[in-house]
Amino acid sequence: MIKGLSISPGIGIGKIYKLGGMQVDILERTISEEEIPGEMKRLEEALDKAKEELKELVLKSREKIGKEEAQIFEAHLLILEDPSLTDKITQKIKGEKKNASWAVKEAVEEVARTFEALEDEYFRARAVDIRDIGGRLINFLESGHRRTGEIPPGSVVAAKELTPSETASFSAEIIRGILTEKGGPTSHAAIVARALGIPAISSLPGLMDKVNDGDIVVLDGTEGVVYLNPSEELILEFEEKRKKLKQQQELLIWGGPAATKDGKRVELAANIRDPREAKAAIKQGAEGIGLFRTEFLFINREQPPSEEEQFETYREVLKLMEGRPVVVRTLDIGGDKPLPYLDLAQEENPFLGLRGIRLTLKYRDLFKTQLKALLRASLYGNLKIMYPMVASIEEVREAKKILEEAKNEVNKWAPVEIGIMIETPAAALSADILAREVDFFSIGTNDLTQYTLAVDRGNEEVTALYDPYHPAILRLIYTTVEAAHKFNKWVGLCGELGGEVTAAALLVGLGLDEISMSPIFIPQVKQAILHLSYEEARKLALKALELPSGQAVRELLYAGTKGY
Amino acid sequence: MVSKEAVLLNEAGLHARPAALFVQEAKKFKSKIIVHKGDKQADAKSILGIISLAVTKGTSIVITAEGEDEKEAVETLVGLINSKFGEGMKND
Repeated sequence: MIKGLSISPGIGIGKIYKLGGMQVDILERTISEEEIPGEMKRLEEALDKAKEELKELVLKSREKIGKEEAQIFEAHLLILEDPSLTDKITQKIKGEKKNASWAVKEAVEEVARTFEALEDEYFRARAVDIRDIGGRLINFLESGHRRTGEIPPGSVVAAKELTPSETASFSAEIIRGILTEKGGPTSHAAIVARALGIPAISSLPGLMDKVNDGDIVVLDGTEGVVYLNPSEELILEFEEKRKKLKQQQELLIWGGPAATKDGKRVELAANIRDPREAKAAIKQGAEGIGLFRTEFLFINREQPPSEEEQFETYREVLKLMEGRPVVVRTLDIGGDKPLPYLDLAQEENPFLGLRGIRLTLKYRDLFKTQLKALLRASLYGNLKIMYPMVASIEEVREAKKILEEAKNEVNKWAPVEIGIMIETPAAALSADILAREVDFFSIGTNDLTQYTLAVDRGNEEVTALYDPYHPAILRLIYTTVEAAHKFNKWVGLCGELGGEVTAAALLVGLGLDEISMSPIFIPQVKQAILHLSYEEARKLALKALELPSGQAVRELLYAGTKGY
Repeated sequence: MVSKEAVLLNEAGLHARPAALFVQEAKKFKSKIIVHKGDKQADAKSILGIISLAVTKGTSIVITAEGEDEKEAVETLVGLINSKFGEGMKND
């Protein structure tokens, strides 16, 4: 048994599948005349395998993702079959007498560079595809190096560390669990694992040396415990546990909405980052989407997404949610994640810089395009638009002005509620002023905690000071909720705090109308709420507001949450 | 030998995915097919060649084919371009 850090709850049983890093050092080697046929044969085999893999990817993408995505892999397949690439590789092996991996790398770089020299942005970007293809070939030439595309069903993935895009390519149907040597519970990879409902444990030093491909493992993501080569009895025991958990969840999910014993309703919604996660949200019983982060549409690309592309994405989510509320947050980005198509200055302190609504008010065309796409999509469901990082009323008024302009440029739209994130202390403290301007609030506790306590949660020196249970944060939440209700506006919460069972009584007691969280936490929070009495939760919350420290609040809550 | 001019109407031009469709169609014919853009040219059956031509929206190209099915080849490829590569092709 090894103990790690729980980063995504649930029980997983499966076979270890070790995933290598994506970087491989390719060494240049001059080969002898006799070696040429061998290297050529290796190349042919790698080409065949890569084509085979791409054909599977084409079929899989067509089925699971879409026709257009499948065409990308069809293009890759054609490139592998293109003599202008293969001749270059062959020439380097036969003519220059280089080893196959080096020949592939060099040939690919040559082609990629000619693409990069093209004038048009679209065409320049194709260099990435060429390099991706090269990587695929090299994977097959350098054995032992694998990619995520070929993981067999029933696997527990073991890796040193995972990137968010690697995690995002996983699906809960295929992957039973994730074990990593590094990566904390607030990493993006962890957030994705929770959103997809895959149990995960990190902080397992030396893991890669301890496990082999095919080893059976049992992992308890809730407790953060891994059992290597477990006994038959243990497997059976956890199999039972897993089934029981699943049944409990299903009962909860389909047993009706979340309400306290004394009948106070709290809407449980999901935080998502793309349409795929909306499906996971429905599976987990979400009553709506409380936070749809739209950044994925804007990052990792050379040009901003078109109105059409955005419209289709928003419409897809709205349609999937079948009339349930969907709160879409407009682009929330800053100088820490520069976009190639925006000319953002280097900032000394990007978290206090041009980000969130400040940025979109500066880049009005970008903002208006997003608003137009949203307005058009509003016809397909229950859309609400939310602006991030608001600190003052002028920002809200300005954004509303641009929204009106957008309406004039769009044919048809449905009535849309407008709300703001409460994530700066300024917004929380002036909530009674802002409430007159908007239809709803959503409290972003991650940033609100960071800004209120002046703690960068990514900075290890001070991360221990980051505490959303700090009385200052609770008082800001309380102030915000009271202000919203005074003006008959609804108020939700969409930080990580929303997914914590410990916080459920507190948040219900503070009077939140909606709590939005990673889909995977919905059943456990729902279970907690079903056991609560609103009257008692209210007393508990008011008491918490008077406590001297986050630690004291926690102790009060632990005492109150015993029993489930 | 048969030649015909076509103007790219779809947003992305002969970009990766449309280029793939174009090359897949071209490969169905036995004729040798060349795409000319200004003074540059590329083999219609080579996707890398086609992409390196960087044919953007509004650009005019000339397709030339030589062989037993030359007429059909040119007609089919010009038709594909005029149809904006079929329905449902999104901006990319």
